[in-house]
Amino acid sequence: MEFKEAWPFVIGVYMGIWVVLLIYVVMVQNKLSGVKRELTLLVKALEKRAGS
Amino acid sequence: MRKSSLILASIGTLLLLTGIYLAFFVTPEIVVRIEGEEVAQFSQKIFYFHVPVAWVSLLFFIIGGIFGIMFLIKFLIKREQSYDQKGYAAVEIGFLFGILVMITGVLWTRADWSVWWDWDPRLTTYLILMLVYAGYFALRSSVQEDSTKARFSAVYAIIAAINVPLTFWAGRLEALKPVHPVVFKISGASMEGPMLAAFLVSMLGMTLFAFSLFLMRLDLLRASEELDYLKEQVEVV
Amino acid sequence: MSGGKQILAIIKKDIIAELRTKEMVISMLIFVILAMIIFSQAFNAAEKSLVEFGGGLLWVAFLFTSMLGLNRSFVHEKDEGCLEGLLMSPVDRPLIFFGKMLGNLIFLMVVEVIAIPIFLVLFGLNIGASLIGPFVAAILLGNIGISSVGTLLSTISINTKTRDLMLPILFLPIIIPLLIAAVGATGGIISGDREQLVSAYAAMRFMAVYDIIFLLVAYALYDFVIGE
Repeated sequence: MEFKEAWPFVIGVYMGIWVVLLIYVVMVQNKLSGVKRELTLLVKALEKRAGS
Repeated sequence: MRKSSLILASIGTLLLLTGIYLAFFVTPEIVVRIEGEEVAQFSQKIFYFHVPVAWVSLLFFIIGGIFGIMFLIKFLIKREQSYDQKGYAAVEIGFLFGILVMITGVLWTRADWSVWWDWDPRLTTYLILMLVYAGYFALRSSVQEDSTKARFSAVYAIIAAINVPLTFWAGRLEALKPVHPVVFKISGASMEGPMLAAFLVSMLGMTLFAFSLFLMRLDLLRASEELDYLKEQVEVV
Repeated sequence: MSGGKQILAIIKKDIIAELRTKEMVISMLIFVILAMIIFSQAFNAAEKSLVEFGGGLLWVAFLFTSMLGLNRSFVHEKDEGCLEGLLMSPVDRPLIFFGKMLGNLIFLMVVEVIAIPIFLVLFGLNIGASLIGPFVAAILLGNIGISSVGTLLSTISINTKTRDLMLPILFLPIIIPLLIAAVGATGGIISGDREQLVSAYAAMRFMAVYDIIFLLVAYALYDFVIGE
């Protein structure tokens, strides 16, 4: 297919890949920071309990 | 983010951007004769990203199977779970890229053959593979006990990885005439010069990027396991 | 006991249990005939040439019937505590796979021996005398694949939360390559066309490779799925 008909699909492919991958990265990082935050809270609570 | 995955991700991104540049500004446009008229095939540009995505997804499915074997070998010697996480992360990355293959494949079908879906052997093959791996996630979510879950998913990942080449072979058995372009034949690639360069750069970039995603996912799995373990300990105390 | 005797003992146990009730084979048989009738009605088979999709119809019916039997054979073992007994008995673990797999294969074949003539009569198809051998071989190759993959995956699925609901989700996508080849093989043989026979034999070669691979893999992996 020529440029004037094909460009939406080609752009769609390239943008689509980036969008999906970026969403995945953001999701994973978001969850990871959540888990890490919870971990540090838990460790702090444990240290407090051990100290008292 | 871990340092290694950050490095991999940035090299991958750079290569992918180079790939885009090469694909759109350097490679010649493919020209085909349709009814005596020369028509430029702009839609062929999809190829430079579609194929690397498909390669990465198949690669990670196979890696998932290999981790399954490693898990079972380790399981026999000493009970260790780390390969279960690796296998799970690999299959998930394979599945993520599989979704991208489906999206880009459907768009290409629309652009080149002006239908959204065609029961071409290879598109169908990919759909089957996605269903096989959907079964992997369904299986994981329906087993509660951790060691059983790990054993079952290792076994299933091995079977599924063996099924990947078999499915492709079965797809080519069909008497149906395949419409999917075959770029790589046994005799070698039918590409040269800048096209090959753009393709290889995208290939490498996509692979590195996928590995960085894999490491990220693995980090998350490890951290959440640590959290679960600590929580259990706190409850016991 | 030698390996062969151990396998035979497991098969014998399954057959005796089945002969007592006959519930599995009879329900499989009724199901396969029902499936054929439903397909013929759904696709309006009377008006179209069945030579074209007879092979497909046959295999879809067999595939769903086999799942009935696969689920049944393990639900029984699990519920009545037979599996524990089997695991505790001095049988080599991997041999349990061959015992169960051959048992499933025998039940499936018993059903098919009755169902195939009915299928051929119902849909008015003939197979030339010279092609009966290849036809039986194609059916047998398909059955071996179905029962080896099926035995492994039904052992997995019976140990999950959703139990027998899990089997189709795991089993059907894995079996699709075999299904494609089996449909091609039986379809080609039913048509009797020389050109189609060539591709039918190619499909049968694929089925043989598939069977060997999955027999070996299932045998090697069975120890990991059956009990702790």
